[in-house]
Amino acid sequence: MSILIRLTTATELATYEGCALALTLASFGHDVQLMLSSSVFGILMQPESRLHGMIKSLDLYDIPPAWLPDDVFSSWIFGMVPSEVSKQIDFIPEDFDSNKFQQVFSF
Amino acid sequence: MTTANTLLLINVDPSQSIAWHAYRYAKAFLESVANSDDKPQLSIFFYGEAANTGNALRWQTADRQSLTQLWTQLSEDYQLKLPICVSTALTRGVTDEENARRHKLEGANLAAGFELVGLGELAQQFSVAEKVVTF
Repeated sequence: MSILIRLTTATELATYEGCALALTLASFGHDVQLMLSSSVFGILMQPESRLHGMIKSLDLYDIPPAWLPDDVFSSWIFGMVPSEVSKQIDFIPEDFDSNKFQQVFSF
Repeated sequence: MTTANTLLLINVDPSQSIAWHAYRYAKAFLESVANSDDKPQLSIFFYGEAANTGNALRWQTADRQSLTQLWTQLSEDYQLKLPICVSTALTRGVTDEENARRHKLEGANLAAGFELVGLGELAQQFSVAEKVVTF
């Protein structure tokens, strides 16, 4: 099943629970794509946050880089996180279509 | 109503109106199946803020129904499993006796009919569900 998980709630707990679901479903063979809104960038920047640690390990779960909105805030975040995080995030594709996913979850 | 094996993934706190939609959906599904020759399976999973639904200590004023008690009744009526992600439940102070002992918590408050399970169970439910509805 192809699943898009959007992280929009700016709390450490909500981002952790959304990311934990992503990693678990990917472990069971589902195609998972994460999308981070700019509202959670503050949490992503904190090295002690679970979101920070889990995003760093996306490739270990065969999850592609998390999508970021294509705006000035995303450009800024690339320079604010260490390279092991920045290589796990990417701009959202221009041809993004949420209808291509069988499920969309928001946290 | 439906002929597909259906999974209800409930993420919202029981105080939100959409949480009631989830309950009504499940109730209608089970009533429909009971009166039909088709026997699609309904599975439920409470995650995130929805873990509060399993808190037996949630008090409700007398003029309002308790969503927790309604789920418990539905579980009894239809032998419906009500799994809650154990991690999200414990984070919100919802625990069964086993986890209370393991984590040295004072007392248990998991409502009847609910059970705490690992997130892997949700992944397995995904594998057999033909339809997933998120609340």
